[in-house]
Amino acid sequence: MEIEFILDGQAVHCPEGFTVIGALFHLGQRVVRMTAGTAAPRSLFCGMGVCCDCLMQINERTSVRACMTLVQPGMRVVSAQGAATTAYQV
Amino acid sequence: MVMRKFSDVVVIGGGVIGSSVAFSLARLGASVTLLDASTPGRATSASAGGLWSLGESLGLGCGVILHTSQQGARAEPAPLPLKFMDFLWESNLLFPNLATELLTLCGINIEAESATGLLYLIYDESQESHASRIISWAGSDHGALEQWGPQRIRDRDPLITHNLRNAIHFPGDNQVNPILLNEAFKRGACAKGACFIPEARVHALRCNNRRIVEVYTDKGSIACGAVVNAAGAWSAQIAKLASIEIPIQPVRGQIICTEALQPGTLRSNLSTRDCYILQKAHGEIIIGSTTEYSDFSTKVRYEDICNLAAGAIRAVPALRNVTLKRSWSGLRPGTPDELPILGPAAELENFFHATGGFRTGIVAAPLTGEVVAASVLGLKPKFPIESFLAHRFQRVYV
Amino acid sequence: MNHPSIVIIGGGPAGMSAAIAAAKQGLSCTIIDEGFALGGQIYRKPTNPEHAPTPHPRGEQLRTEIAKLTQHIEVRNGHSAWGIFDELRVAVTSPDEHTELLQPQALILAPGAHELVPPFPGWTLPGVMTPGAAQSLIKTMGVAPGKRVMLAGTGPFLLAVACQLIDAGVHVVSVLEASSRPAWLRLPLHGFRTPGILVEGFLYLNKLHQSRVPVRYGRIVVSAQGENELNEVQHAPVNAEWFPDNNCIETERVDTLLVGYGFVPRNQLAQMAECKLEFCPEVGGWIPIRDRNLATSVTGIFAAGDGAGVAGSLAAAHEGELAGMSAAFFLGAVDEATFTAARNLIEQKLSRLRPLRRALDKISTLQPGLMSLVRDDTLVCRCEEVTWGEAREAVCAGSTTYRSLKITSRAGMGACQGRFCWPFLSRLVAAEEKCSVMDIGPPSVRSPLVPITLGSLAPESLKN
Repeated sequence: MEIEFILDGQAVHCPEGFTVIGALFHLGQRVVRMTAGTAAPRSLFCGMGVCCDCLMQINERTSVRACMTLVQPGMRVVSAQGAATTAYQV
Repeated sequence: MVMRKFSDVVVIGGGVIGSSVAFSLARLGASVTLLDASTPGRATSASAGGLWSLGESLGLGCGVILHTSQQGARAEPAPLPLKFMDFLWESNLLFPNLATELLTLCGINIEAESATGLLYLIYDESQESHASRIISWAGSDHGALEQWGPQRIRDRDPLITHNLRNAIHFPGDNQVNPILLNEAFKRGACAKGACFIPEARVHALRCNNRRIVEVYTDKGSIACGAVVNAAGAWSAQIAKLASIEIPIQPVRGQIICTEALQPGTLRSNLSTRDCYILQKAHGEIIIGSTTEYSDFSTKVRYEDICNLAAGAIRAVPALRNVTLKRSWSGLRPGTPDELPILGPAAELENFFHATGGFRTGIVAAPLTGEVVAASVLGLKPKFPIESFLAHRFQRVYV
Repeated sequence: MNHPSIVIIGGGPAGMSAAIAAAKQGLSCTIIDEGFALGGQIYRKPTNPEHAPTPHPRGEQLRTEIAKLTQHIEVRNGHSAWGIFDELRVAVTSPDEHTELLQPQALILAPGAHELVPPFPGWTLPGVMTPGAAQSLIKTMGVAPGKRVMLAGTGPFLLAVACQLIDAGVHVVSVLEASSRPAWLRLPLHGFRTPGILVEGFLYLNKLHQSRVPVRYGRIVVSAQGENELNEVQHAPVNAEWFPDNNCIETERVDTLLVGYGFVPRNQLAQMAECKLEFCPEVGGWIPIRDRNLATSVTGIFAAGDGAGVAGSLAAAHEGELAGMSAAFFLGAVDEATFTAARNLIEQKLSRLRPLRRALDKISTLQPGLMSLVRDDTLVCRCEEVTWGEAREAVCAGSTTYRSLKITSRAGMGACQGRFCWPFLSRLVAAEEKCSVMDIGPPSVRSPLVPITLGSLAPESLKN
């Protein structure tokens, strides 16, 4: 069973029961965000919710740990470019 | 860091006040040793860094929050005495030049913002009379207070709630990074020849003929020409080592802060009756604060974190989706009349106080440093400090 | 259930075993766990069983046992315990953002450990991750961490993860073990009481050998490069103190590097509850001081598993059982004779595991050579992007404690609250200040321990 969700404005698919980080890796995207200080790319690091490197904007929430979140149909996932923002970008 | 054998002045306490005093003294050519012990709860590192000379004087910020939380208190928080409002105003004006000087001297940018201003949000009718009183209290010489309508508020800061009546805008009330200010004063003092000893706890003061002649710490002892008590919430304990009593009490303030958000998420500093809200240069939004007359514990309480979060969301609804990064608390040095204790102690010839900053320590720091330094060196302070001398409490004590 | 008798934080082997033990004594327990299902890290349950490999049978066993005890055990998956307040009150936030205060009569902390990764040039590149991160991708979804994978660090966990990757069809280039081969060859001498573990280790080595994956001893990764993602790694042989011989650097083209040098107990909750801590580097660092019953210095709080000292999953399960029994005894649900008998049995099981464990810890003791990898422009704090040069400047200007360093350099001020940077940053500071790591102290903790939204704390009325 495949689920559809929106990644950086594009509709994509992943199998059911995948975390957001798993879905991204499955789709071939490992870079998850760009840091606020030096705009450096970051990705999955600890995979267990401790390092907070895999933070992405998910639906209305500005920073969510992608490794701790299961993909839901219609979920809107955004790779943060720098510091978090309340202005939702598509 | 090796302790010197002798210093003209030993400053006890390396918070924003102590380091400001050390900086001013070193600038005037005195040999200074600045002692610090990193105790949890230092007010400087807990502070949001609002430079609200007018706002705080008029009872906003922590004043109105405390007031709201105390059911059955009188109608509005009272303003602070005019003399002190002037002191804070004068100190606030020093920031632009100070920022440049410190940047040149030690390379630290204290992030003294000059364009935020302060907005006091008026939610409902019950605050209206308070609002009009504030405008008349301020007087014309601390000018340019304005009442802003909802449209003007929205134009400036679109994320502020639409659910309010209006707001009062204080253009001169900006902000600084209190930690960088502290660090810059400290390094600036060292650049001018001061000696900074971290983790040095003072446990005794040797007195001879009404003069402190030696300061004993766990890192060694130092002979001195004069001592400045800038130990913040712990000033009473330090004064006691010299057999002096001052009515300093710890007043805890809890604060929460968000993750770093894009610059410009919030352009104004906000004060409401629930909390104050500032976005710092780094992007984090700081929301505070409680005012608890308590002990020296720096615990954070669940209920208080929730109240601050609720207050923040009320003022800026978009914050509900933003991550709460951490909570902490600090201990302000409180005094019974909410005014600082500055200048010479009556009991000794060479013991000076620089404490009691309560909720205005950060904005008062530059001028406090200058007037206390002048006082220590027998020069005329550029602002009179008679109203702030410790002996004003002796009528109560004796 | 807002007032269970016991709240257990952590649903790994320790937490599950604690719940089972306490439930069998008739006590109501609530397990708070951040994962999607119970199992912790080692016994992760697949979230997509179709793609993922068969889960570890021990994990399945424990989950089944808990399911049978539903009248006593409430399981809250996806929940984060982010703060402990007065009188054992625990703040817990649910996946849909509701926050609640639980007030149990006893609290068992079983949060486990996270991995230890020393900073080195390039360690923040996408593609560089912990072995556990790769394991989580494979175990739950059968997703590969990359195409060409190298593992580096120390300890048998590297071997286990390498084998899991091979089973999943991922190309593993090599495994680099910092300690020397002779040190490992002596290991079986200590494993006579736990032959099963030795056999497991031997099977790993055998599989790697069969798959032609070299295990190279006495080697560490010294740097990593890449544009947007990792594409190259440098590694070198090391001496007994793990100082690399920079004249013998080899380069390997890989897109994934799994780096793990052991584990660090997640002691944040214990710290927040004001449990007294002690510094035990051989079991990962700062741990709560516990008595024979695994009680901490705070009445009513017990600690079990890797979160109280890294000792592996088998020890964690035994400790969990003991903590559950101790809590039951503390609450008067079991008499002293029964409790003492149970405790003696568990202690025997734990002591059997110790010789091999100690030998393993010794081989993987962190050596000073790792500190030499850091350059002035290497990030030491990932969250706040603070370089070692910046941190050292603050140290030299007088910021020699965690608090002062955090405040002046921002290192440790980020979302992970020093969990990943402090183990090494404290060693770097200690070296700079010529004092012991113990004197530097643990990082201070602040609630919330995990990211929660402001909205999750506000009453319903403000959410609209």
